[in-house]
Amino acid sequence: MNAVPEGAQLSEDGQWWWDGADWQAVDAQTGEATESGDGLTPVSEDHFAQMMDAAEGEASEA
Amino acid sequence: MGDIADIVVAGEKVIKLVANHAGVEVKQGSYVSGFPRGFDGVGLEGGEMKKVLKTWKQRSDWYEFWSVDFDFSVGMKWLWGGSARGAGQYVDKVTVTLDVAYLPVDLTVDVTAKFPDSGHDFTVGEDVLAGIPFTTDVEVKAIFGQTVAWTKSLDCMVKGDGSWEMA
Repeated sequence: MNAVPEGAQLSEDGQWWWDGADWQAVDAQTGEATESGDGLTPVSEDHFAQMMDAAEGEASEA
Repeated sequence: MGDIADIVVAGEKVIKLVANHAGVEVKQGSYVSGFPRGFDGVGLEGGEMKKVLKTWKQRSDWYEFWSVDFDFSVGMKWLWGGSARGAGQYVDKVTVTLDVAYLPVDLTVDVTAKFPDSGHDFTVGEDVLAGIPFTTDVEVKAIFGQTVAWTKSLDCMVKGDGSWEMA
């Protein structure tokens, strides 16, 4: 996960930081930045691999 | 596993395909063939095309977690059953495919197929049954807060009787 960039503008409640185009959520427990808006959060390689493995189907004749 | 006989694999031995949100592009290669030594394919008789697909489609449980949708298929396509000089079952027009139903922005799929110089002879009885083993690497890259990548290597086989393997 990415930390809140130094000098980034924070919202009054400290829950969001401005990346120049949109407000990004600050993780409540770690104080680190997470993606906002569409609900995406930074993804680890392991989680991405699990997602791709789960999406894989069996080969079959078309 | 069949004997490695004089089944010559001809054509571009590396085929590369790339897909993103905008579409699919063939970066390199077209197809290969598996014929007996000294036969260039002219006069190949008969045969029919077959296509096999393997699909990666986002599951609803993972979609709820990450709201990322994707649906693409990696396949292999070949002409099987063609005979050379009236005998045998060979393979021609062997290639890999990449079909995209949907890819989100910031997600790319790279497919690379690598073919050997010689095929296999699975002869049972008197007639030659040709087969070509090859590998197909599927690499998916995405940006989900950070750049992540995933690779799957598929062991593939296409044969002149229409049978196949893809795992």
